Amino acid sequence: MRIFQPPEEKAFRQEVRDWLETNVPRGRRPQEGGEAQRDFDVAWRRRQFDGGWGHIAWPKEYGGRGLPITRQLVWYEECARAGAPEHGHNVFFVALQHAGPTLIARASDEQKAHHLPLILKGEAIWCQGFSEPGAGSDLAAIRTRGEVDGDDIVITGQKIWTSYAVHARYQELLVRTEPGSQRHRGLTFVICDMKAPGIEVRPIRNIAGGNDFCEVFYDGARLPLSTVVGGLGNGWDVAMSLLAFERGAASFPVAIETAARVEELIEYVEETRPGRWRDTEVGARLAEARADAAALKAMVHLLIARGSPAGEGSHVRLFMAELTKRISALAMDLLGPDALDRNALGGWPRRYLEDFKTTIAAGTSQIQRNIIGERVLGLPKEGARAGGKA
Amino acid sequence: MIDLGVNDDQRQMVEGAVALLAEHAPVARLRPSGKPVDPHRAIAEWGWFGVGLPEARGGLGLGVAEEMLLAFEAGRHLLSPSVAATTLAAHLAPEDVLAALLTGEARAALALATGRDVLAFDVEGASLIAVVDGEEVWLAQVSAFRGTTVSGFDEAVYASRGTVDRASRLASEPAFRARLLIAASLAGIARATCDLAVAYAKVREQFGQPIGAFQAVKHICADMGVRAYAAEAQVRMAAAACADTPDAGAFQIGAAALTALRAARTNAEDAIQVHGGIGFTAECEAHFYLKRAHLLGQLLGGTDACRTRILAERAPEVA
Ligand SMILES: Cc1cc2nc3c(=O)[nH]c(=O)nc-3n(C[C@H](O)[C@H](O)[C@H](O)COP(=O)(O)OP(=O)(O)OC[C@H]3O[C@@H](n4cnc5c(N)ncnc54)[C@H](O)[C@@H]3O)c2cc1C
Repeated sequence: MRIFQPPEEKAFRQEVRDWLETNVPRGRRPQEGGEAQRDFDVAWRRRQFDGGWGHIAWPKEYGGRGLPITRQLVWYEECARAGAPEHGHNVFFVALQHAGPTLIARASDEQKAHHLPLILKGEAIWCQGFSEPGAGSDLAAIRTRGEVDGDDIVITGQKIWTSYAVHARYQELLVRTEPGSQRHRGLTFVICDMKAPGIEVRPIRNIAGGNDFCEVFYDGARLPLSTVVGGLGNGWDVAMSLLAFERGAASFPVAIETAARVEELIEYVEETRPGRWRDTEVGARLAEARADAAALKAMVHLLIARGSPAGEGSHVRLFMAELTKRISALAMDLLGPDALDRNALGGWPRRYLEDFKTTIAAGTSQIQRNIIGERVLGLPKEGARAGGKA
Repeated sequence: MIDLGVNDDQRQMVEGAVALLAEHAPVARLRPSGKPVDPHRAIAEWGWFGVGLPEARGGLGLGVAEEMLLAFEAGRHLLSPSVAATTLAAHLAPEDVLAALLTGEARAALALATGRDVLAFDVEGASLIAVVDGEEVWLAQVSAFRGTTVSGFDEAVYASRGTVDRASRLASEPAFRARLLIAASLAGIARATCDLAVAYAKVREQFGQPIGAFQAVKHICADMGVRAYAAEAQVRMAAAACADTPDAGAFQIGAAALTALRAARTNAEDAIQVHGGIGFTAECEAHFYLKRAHLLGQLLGGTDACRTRILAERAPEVA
């Protein structure tokens, strides 16, 4: 239990700081979504890669620096400090936070060698094809079919809520390859080339006005069998590895960036209501948010210190998601009539709308509570009969 | 580099403390049907009060982190505030009484300056009194306290109201260490109440199943788990930030105080709810935690003061 700065970390931090100082994009990230936002994110990704910052923790052979996760946190911290584009909101989020880590853990050498550098160079945006109209929280209910036909898998069905599908080159796709199989059996995880014929992407307009999350239709799209990750029929297991990343370390960037958002609001209120705000209701909420943002960061470090046991990441995820929404709601109250301008104060009102997704995507808060209740606290599953020991 | 883990020595120390408290201070001792015990002597003999004390003062020379870990257990086991007071007193007491504090022959009582008077806890048998007074903690001979017993909110602690003659101050220090220890005890309460509710939710059956299978109950427990996790993480962060001197961790201690206070109170409230009718009985341990959370919360100045304090601090620059 200590905070210290080994010389290598100090040097690393300084190197990051120096680089960010001259390389952080000057303009703000376009807020409306669409191509301008994508181009901004691609340019920033490319710049990081060219600067030698493709990834802090990924293995060197794939373009990363091969450093420990704690160094990755230093990177997030310094980016937040420098006002760099947020890692938690980025068209490469899927690629960097769960596709890449899943490939590193589960894919073949050829798959890794091909895909990981493309991600880091900003040449491949990824999306996630898990949810379907009839399978959201209940992921094991998916029906999209993958028929093995010679050396190919032929995909037929539909996915929905696929973030960034309009921009994506590849997709984490979970399909049912064993006809008639039930629940988590008979599923396969494939890397889907979004340019394959027979795939149609239809954007969905969201409550914040963006349309980067989509429906995806597959009408006999052919993917070579070499795109399967982890073997035919092992899709559920690969998907669970992926969700462990999505519900665990994928929360870290936002967890680190949150404190800066709270400080931004404190600065704002100090400027607009100097001296008068501390003893008011918003003062109390800002105090709480400041403590919560500190605790959120501490939770990340506790999780890492404990070796990230299964399910524990949901503590961070749930706390982060709910805190994010509280902070945005607080911003709305601080802004008063300005809240009616979506772009006020750097776009907080728009962000307030966007943040409704944090308690839905990657497993709703209710699902996170089920995970904590059952997997961490050991409470029985719903419908468990009395006296049953199973 | 932030390391919030416990090392092997710390783990062993905590295991030792837990074994000690299981034997000498099981929480069941507090129940109406329980057997009242005074574990102070056993705690002292185990070495509790020397853990964070410099070697020059006869201590083990370990740090604030170790004191914090013990305070967490003190909260979990609902030890008398005198344990925190004696820990603080060991840092402040003159040499001639120090040895007796370390062996448990003498102890300090904790007291809270309310602005009008002083509320003192478990003064009976104490020879010193450690007064939490705004931004500092000061120590006096217990004889400087004049007061009368009141009907304490937390019946596991004897409360008295009175005054302490300020002229008899022996020594003082800024309240940072006290706040860290109190926050750690509150985090311990948040964990203990979560464990209590979860254990009950696994065995109590209604409608043919354990109540913990119902989401309405499971989700209360999950939220308790998150609060306990957040509180424990933040008290560890605060202890880590203190490194050599507790005041270095002012911001993190402030965040820990607020986080742990809310977690302890809310979790204790929820623990009562999860127990149903039993939760409203004096036999169920949940209410002891609730009452202690209030007592410790007031020693931090209450929620309002915690909020004011964290806004007054400068947010930490990253290293
Ligand atoms: C912005 C955004 C981006 C997304 N991006 C992607 C993506 O890129 N790829 C992808 O595959 N998916 C994505 N999703 C989908 C997301 O994973 C699902 O929306 C989520 O899992 C919930 O599923 P659902 O929408 O079908 O809601 P439902 O599962 O129908 O849930 C509706 C309500 O019922 C509750 N509920 C459901 N089951 C239970 C239960 N067992 N216990 C208690 N409550 C329950 C839920 O908590 C929720 O409140 C995204 C969603 C959003 C909002």
